[in-house]
Amino acid sequence: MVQEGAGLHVSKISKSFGHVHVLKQLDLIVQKGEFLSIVGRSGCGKSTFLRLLAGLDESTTGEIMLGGKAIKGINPEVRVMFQESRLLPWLTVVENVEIGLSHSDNSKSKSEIRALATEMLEKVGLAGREDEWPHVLSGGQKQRVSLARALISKPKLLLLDEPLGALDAFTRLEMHQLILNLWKEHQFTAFLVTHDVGEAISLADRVLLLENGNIAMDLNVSIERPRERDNTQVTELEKKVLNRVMNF
Amino acid sequence: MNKRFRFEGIQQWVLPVFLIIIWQICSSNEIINSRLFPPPSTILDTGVKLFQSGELYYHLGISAYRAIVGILIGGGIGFIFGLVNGLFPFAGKFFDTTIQMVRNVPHLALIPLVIIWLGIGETAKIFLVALGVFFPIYVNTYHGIRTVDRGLIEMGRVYGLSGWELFKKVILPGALPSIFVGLRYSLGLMWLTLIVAETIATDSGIGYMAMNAREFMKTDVIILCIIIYALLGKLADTLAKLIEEKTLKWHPSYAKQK
Repeated sequence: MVQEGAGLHVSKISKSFGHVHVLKQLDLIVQKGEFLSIVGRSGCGKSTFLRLLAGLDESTTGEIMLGGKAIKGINPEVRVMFQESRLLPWLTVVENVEIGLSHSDNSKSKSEIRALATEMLEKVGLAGREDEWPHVLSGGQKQRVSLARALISKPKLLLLDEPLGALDAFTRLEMHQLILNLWKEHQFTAFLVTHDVGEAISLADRVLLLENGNIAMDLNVSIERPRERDNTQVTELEKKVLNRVMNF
Repeated sequence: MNKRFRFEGIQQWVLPVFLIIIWQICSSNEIINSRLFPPPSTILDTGVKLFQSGELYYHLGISAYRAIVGILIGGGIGFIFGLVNGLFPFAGKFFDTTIQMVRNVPHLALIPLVIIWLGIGETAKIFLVALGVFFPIYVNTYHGIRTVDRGLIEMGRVYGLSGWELFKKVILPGALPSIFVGLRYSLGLMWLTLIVAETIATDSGIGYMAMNAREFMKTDVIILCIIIYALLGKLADTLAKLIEEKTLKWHPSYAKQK
């Protein structure tokens, strides 16, 4: 059941909207299976970068290679978890999870797909909720479904676009644990965009600070997991990044 | 709880039943002129007689036929135009302004012209009904397609949906609530158009029955026709509502309390 993540080579990526240069000649190498967080102020280009990785936009110049293949357009090996859950309200929970699978793979029968989706829902802690409509779920539960949908096809790269931003503190901590567990189990390469420096440090192997369309800081986080929020190393790193962001 | 519910069910019928009883008493005792205002019992009687002679059935059938064919043609074309214009911005730019301009012409104002063009046969009435229902269905389909949540479409694309799959799974279900608003509105317009068209130029149908009865001062038949129209309108609306509830059962506002 374990699938491999894939390494990512980003070389000289630029993205401009008219005269606005959002990303400038960005270079980045990500190891396979690495958990990476990107932090930065609003408008620093982190969402644009994520959209390029997802294949939703095309870069103006430069190239992105995933596991040795160039990313051009939508790629079934890359999945996105959005800030909002973006579940289809007219499909049941389990049908929403199936959306993640049915189009990348025609070799599976309907019952196999259903079994996979049910298993995935169990993994995110929503066993027994398969046939409910999304609107009866809480915000955290919706994001769990969205996570199940993203992971069911066993992507090599999972992009997380501030997926926990709208959740309350307790649910967030729960989701952190869930994401880390699934990451350990599935060994995909993870890319988390967040505003929350503390969250970035407590989850990732590596934290990038994006500023003016380029990487301003590249920080390895070698603290052993599980990392407590009040771990002194975590708070020290957090201070370091925040100081850099605020230009102290 | 259950008992109270049942009482509330009865409660709403108290006033109409009371009014009908008053009407019956006033009319059969000649407190009001029973030639102008025949009592409900007479109307019911007339209804049964007309039904038994097959006359009511015949006219009802013709009216229903016009309504159904009209809404299938007009609604179908409106739906297709709404889809095409909503899905393809180029088509939207090309057609929408023209359709919106034509929409402002009251379609019943075309009756004299339609009679000259198409005579008073079936074509004229079906044409008027089709024209009347076209616009609400078109406008609401177009609007529904264009206002589908962009985030969901983007999600669909990331998950590899495109073309027909994207339409079937994301765009059409997202537009359905709005399309149903158009459908229910156009059902009302359908009967309204038919009533007018059948009373002005025709030789059959419920409207014709009413106009014909006027010639002979048969007020009971006229009132019967009016009631039939009301019932047909209610029936169509209930039917649409049932389909709506079935199709939109995922929608929070239609969700049945468990």
